[in-house]
Amino acid sequence: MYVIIAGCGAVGSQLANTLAKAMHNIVVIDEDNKSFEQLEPGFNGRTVHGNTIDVDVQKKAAMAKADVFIAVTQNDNANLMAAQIAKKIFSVELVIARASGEHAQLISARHDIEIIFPVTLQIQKIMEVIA
Amino acid sequence: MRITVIGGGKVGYYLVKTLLDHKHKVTLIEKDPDRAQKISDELGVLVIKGDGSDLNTLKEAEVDLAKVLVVVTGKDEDNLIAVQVASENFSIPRIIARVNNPKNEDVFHRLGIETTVSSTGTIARLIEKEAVTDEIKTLLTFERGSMTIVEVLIRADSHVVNKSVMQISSKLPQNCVLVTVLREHQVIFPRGDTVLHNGDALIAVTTLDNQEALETVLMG
Repeated sequence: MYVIIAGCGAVGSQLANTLAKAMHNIVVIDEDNKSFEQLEPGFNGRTVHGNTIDVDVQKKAAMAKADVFIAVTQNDNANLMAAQIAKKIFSVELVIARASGEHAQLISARHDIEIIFPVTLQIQKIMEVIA
Repeated sequence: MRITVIGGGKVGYYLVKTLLDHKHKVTLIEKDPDRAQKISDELGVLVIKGDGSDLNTLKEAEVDLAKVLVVVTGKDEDNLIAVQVASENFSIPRIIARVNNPKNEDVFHRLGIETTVSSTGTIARLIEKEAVTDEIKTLLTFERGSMTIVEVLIRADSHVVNKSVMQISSKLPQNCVLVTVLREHQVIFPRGDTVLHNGDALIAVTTLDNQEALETVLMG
């Protein structure tokens, strides 16, 4: 599978490392070249330096060929915008974005984007443990 | 008129100031608390401290009462999401979004945002317009510069001299119409059999993308 990940932070880098080991084709996009240091030495995917809401950066990552796009940068709105570009302009089948808030839900429903709500997930988990 | 502005940066600040001068009722939404306080003190305008893409902030600013919403933060991702959230939740008659990176003008349109303002793009187009040669003059632009009416002077060495409109029509770019030929104070509405002369001024409507192609056909 061809997977593009935007944001090489804690989640993005570990996700990239794990998926690369599972023999998927991985591209990681980040604005900060230094963040790529979090990738394992044996990481066999590709890195693209740039802002993920820039169509040309997505083009450079060959977004049109991607099966999955995952936006997990620190910026919720950038995740939501990058996800919409991937979906609408590059017609990526499965698009996932990390975000929070009511408005993310709305955009998810309207634009066929899967949203990961970290806050909601954590609360759910805590409630499960408490119960 | 009641107008809500999101983003109190340089553009937002002067926009609010200008709108107040024109006696509009303005509410500003600004994320940075210090900046919000400063603008509120300075302009005496109602400033809501908060994130313009957050639904609760928009409700607090009573954006549903606004006739116009203008989103002018310095970040395109924030502008896009704010517009989408506002247009989905409220029926605001007019929403205008600022595009910082000119590249995103097209992206915004493709993501369903119709009315955008790109200061960088507008300035670039103005400069381009001033820089083109004397033989082609832009008389008027529409749709914020994407469509233009141009005047082209036909010179003796042009390929189209002594050719009829019909003969050159296949070479003309798409989305371009010859409107009028000006010949020695005479106005001619061109038909297929109208022959172009040296010294004619041709008025044409064209999209900006095709202006160069039109120039090549008529002046080459």
